[in-house]
Amino acid sequence: MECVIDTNVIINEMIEDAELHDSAVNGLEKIKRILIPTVVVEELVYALKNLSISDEIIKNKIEELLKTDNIEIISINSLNFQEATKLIIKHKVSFKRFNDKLILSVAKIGQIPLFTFDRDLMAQCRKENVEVFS
Amino acid sequence: MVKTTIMLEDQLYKQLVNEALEEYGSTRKLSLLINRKLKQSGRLKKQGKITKVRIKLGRKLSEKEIENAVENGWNGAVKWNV
Repeated sequence: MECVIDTNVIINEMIEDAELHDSAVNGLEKIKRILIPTVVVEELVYALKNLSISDEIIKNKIEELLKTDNIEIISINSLNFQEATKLIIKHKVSFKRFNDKLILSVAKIGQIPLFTFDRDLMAQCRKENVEVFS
Repeated sequence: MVKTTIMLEDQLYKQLVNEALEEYGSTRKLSLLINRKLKQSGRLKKQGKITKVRIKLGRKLSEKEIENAVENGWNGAVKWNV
């Protein structure tokens, strides 16, 4: 199966003492084709900096994502921006949540399940008939 | 550069010929067009040694802390004023 991955899954997989590390590792092992929107890679970099992770480790993590055979980095295109903007208006939320909507739009447009630990994003998936991977 | 023969589906070939004509005014640049499309797709098999990057922080990291790191990291980068 293929699946769109949210930033929190990658962080939980990467950090061994994260609360959901085992769930992230076990979940990712079940996915044949892992799709990572470019916005997730950006979020990952800023989140790791926020957690005071060194630049060297961040660089190595990005290289790992780029080189792993079953991982595909998905570009955000005009359809995703249109859909994400519609969802912002529809759900009456701030554009501060635009990244979440972009990630959701990749799953929604491609009709692909989304793997996330973010409960808000899970709820949005259900509203938009996007399957949540668990 | 390597010269080789590839078998294309009829419809794909027609599309590529039309695109080459539109962009270069000739079908002689078909190889250039195919090379460009393959590079842009980013879907070629990846090469190189992969090392799984796993780290320990030496303390438990909660779900909430990770959510905060994602949000604060991004907000810190874009400096929202609203």
